[in-house]
Amino acid sequence: MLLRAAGQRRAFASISNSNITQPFAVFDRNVKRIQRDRAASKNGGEDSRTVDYLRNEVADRMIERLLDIKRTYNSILDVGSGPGHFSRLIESKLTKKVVMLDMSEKTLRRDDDSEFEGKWLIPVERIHADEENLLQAIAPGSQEAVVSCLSLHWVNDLPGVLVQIREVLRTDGVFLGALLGGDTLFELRTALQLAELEREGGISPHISPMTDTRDVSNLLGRAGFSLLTVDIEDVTVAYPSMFELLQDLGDMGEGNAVIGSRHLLHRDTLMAASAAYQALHGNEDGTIPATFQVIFLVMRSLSLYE
Amino acid sequence: MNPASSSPLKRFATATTITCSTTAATYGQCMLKSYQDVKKDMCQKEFLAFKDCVQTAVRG
Repeated sequence: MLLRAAGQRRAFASISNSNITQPFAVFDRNVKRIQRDRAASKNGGEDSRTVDYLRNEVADRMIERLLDIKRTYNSILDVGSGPGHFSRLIESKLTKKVVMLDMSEKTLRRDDDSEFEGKWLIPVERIHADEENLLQAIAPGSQEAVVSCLSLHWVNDLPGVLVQIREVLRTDGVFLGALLGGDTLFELRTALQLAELEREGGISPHISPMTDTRDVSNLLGRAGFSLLTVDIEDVTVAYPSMFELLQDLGDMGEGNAVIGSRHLLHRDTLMAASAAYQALHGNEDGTIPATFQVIFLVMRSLSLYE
Repeated sequence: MNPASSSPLKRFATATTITCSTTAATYGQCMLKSYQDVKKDMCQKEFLAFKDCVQTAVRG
């Protein structure tokens, strides 16, 4: 058992060779890219498709908000598109084409083959680029609309990326986003903390810090957007147990990528966390709930001369 | 699910959540009693009973 644990630790430590030099580095982007590439190609993409339920649900709720804006576009840029959970819902009466941009090439092209190409309602262009360096891939002032559905929670410098999104937008462009808020996975977070305190006498971060809902309007104001609407919705999913939740998060490519985190969860702690999850949050029918707090934003880019 | 043919992690998960649900609940309730003032090993006895059950189940 001990040997096995040591081996695992080594394997995890070797997957990233990136040098972290930027100012606000919380996440290891290289680890995240590798996780998402692996998740999207596992089992020919099948495992990844089974866990599309969360992103599909959020994309469904987000498309309603796009339809509420009574405008049509020549092109829509989908930042952090993944395989296109949101993009594939966009109809031709809304835009002539959609441009998908993602840091993980495997995720971006997961549903690329002919079998899935038929499901697209409009022409699609794919750009493999890191959303943290959006301006390197997209020309300033070139976009009428930018959307982002559940990708910005892995970005290190969120204010910087929001500024870049504003930069690529034309005057009076639209930004529609769905971000994961700070209460996301609070059940898992508290269960792990309780278990680690009781078993090991200390805690370590296993779940990313996420945007506090109170900070969102400030963030966007600072980036030069005028606020149209912000609203928050919880998506709660019931799982048979904590293990299915962890499995699905992994298959979504949403594993832990916090720099310097202890990647290994001891088996004792895992057992304890499962019991704590059930005791703290368990539903009456024996399942456990997991909450995903989604912040929806609809923004307009201000003119530079306004 | 046939425990003999599944992966070690699956067997561990089944043991933790299904086979040993009673000892897991006892341990969970113990932690819940004083979750605002958690101390290391405060539920040691309950945890060991839980772990004992899981180890037996995984081997079996």
